[in-house]
Amino acid sequence: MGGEREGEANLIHTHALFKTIAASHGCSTGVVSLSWAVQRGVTVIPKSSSTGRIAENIKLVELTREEMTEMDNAHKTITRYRVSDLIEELYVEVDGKTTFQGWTLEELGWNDKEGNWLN
Amino acid sequence: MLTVTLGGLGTDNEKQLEESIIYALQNGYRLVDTAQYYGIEHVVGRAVRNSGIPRSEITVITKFWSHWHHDPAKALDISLRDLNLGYVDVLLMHWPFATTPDPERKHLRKDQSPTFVETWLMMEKLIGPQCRTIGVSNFTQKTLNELLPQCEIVPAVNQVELHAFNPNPQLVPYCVSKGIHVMSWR
Repeated sequence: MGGEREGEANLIHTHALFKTIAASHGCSTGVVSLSWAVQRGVTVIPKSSSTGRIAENIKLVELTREEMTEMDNAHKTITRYRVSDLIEELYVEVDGKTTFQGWTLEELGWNDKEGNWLN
Repeated sequence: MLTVTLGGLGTDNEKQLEESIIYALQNGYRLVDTAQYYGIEHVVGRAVRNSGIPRSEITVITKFWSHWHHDPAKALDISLRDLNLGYVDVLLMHWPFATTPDPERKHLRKDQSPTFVETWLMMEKLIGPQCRTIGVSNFTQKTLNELLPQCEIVPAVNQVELHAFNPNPQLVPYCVSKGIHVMSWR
């Protein structure tokens, strides 16, 4: 979760919300992001080629309930996106329609008919 | 916990990747996540073998791509050969969508065979000494609701995109309620 894709301004590392939480725990924004997921019961799989970050990413911090709520709401208060949407090679034309590898986003269960996110 | 991605690595990068994995394992990481799609299973396997950490302490996850949906047993054989670690801990269906086999790889619509339910039923038969457990990746409540009534074995894992800007607030508790462990890729 700490990695960056080319061309993507990674707000998870640069937005004040995450930087403030990181500063109060004396850790990186990457560790904040990983800790938030782990506290939700999710296993994380950080990727990094830097030995410094590999060593750092295994040391999680405990976020307060307020910090968890702020992070939980970041997709409403800051922005939301699917990394999958940015991977152009996954979008292909089938029977004259743009599909996600042959499927609609509705068939995947990502969106409802109106295009609202379901996940 | 460590994910190993990036396809198309050159020889220099392979060496660097191997060193990064060994460094991670020697610093406490115990889960290695890879996939056939990344084209690096041979490097992952070599790193695990050269790490000095007993194989039994490490969880190795790999995934097969859509052109193997008709034959996940063959996909498992390829991962076993390339990883060369004796067994895989978790084999995942990388995405629910399928293509026809190589070399055509034509994208199939959702209702065309092999459907993900058909593929999953074939995966259930793979569980054994060389494939300890099975799971899915990039499944949603919709596709899990379509799969679960049809299967004998509930997926152990659903690995999905998950981060603060795509937190899956409904999917996570849903999976927990079904006994499916959520892993996050980003």
